[in-house]
Amino acid sequence: MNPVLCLFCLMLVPLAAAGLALIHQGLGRSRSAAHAMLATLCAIAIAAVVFAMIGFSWAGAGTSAHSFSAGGVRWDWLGSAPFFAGGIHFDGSDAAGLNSSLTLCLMMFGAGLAAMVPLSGGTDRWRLAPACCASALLAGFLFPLFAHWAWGAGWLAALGTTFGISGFVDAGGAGVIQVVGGLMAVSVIWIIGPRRGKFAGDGMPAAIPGHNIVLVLFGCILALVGWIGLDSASSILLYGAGPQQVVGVIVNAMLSASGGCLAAVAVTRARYRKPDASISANGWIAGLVAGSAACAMVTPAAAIDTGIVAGVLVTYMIEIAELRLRVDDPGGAVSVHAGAGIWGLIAVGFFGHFSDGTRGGHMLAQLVGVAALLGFMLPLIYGANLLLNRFVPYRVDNDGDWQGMDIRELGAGAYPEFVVHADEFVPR
Amino acid sequence: LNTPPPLEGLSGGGFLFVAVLGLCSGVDGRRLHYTEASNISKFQANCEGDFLRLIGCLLLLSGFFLVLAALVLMPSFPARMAFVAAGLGVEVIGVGLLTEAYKSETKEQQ
Repeated sequence: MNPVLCLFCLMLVPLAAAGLALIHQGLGRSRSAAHAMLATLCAIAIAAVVFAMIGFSWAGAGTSAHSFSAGGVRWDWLGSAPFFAGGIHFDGSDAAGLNSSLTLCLMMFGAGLAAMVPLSGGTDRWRLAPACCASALLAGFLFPLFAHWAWGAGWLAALGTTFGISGFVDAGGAGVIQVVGGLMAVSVIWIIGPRRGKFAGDGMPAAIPGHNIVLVLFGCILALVGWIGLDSASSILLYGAGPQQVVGVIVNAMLSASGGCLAAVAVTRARYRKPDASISANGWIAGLVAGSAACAMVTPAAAIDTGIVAGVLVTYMIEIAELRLRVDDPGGAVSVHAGAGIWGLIAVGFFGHFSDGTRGGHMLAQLVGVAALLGFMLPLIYGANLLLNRFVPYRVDNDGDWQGMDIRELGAGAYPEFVVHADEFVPR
Repeated sequence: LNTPPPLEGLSGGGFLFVAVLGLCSGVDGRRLHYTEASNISKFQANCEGDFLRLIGCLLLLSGFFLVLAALVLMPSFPARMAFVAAGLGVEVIGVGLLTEAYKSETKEQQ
């Protein structure tokens, strides 16, 4: 492992958070812009603290773990490292400590990114306090659980040795970060419901456009830089990628994002006669999300294919979610992070190049990973959020819904001198 | 003075149905006594939503355990793949039920 290169890549990861934050608040309404940004900061801060204190112990990358035996097989399901990152020495006295400390850094950023994703789905109606509690829940238990399974030598990563197929591969966190965050987003949306006025009585959705598409598109560029850092750092740390493979990771990240964006532009141009900027931005992020699963293990052509499929998929998923499923997801979190992330995990089985194992074995391992995400993580995340909602109600009240989260929760708007909300003066 | 009698508008069978669903899915039974006649349909929709949600979550878990069982019990690759695909199919049905639960609640709220 090249620690300097890994450190440099890790320093880029916060730019992914900056990009996603701009995208989320740009796709929401102006009356909730400051709230969205503050919620993002709080989510990242709480995720970092809780993950460093508790979560990293349970993520337990490469350390001792809780396990049980069933069916003649040992199931390694949760890490058991010391709490408060106690096993890591930052003073350089322990040679193996460098790897652990870099892994802590990567996973801490990953937990922050995962905690940001549901904020996008709950924009304009998810209160700040429950959002912070949900971030703590995610970073303290839900994220570390799946991170241990996939990244910390848990049962998913050990499928190859246990069952003779291949290990589950998630090089850039498409499953561990994006799908887990996306499942959190869908759970939150199911609990808090749509924004008032989003759906008419007959179920037809009203268009509530994002308030600043320039910030959204700028956020896409920032996210690219951050994603390159994330994919490269995780490939180096968790899959032993060398400098030459890191160059491949960078090329593939750029190509999959490009494929996703261009596909979304083409599909929206063909269907609506003009390209849709917000859906195209979602296509860009979907390409990055899908491409991150196999970032170091595919050819550039396969990265483009992965991105194109993700871009097309996201375009249709956003429409189906809104029109058929009545899901009000202002930032497209469910489609972009959960949908494209699951496609990315499956794409590893289709396009990945591996030195060991058969293609069928890799496909089977990826499908088992997807099944674990949908079949175990989704009910767990949904149940945990339902429980939390009983103690800390998620949704803002009716007045807050109309007034906007800025005034309701922060007492001041993001743009106090420039924006007048006409419907604040409509009697109701 | 105008408070309607408890459970007005619900037949005996309807009450039993709602009570069983409430017990199964953790609905607070005390809500029954204060439910107004005009809100009965909303309450029933909520209970149906809770029931669908419960079944959806159980199906998701069933699909997951089907996948695990396939890994442990099936020796050959095609059989494993078939059962893993079947488990994923069960999970998709579970997600569909959760979506239906959400849709029914949202529709009633509007």
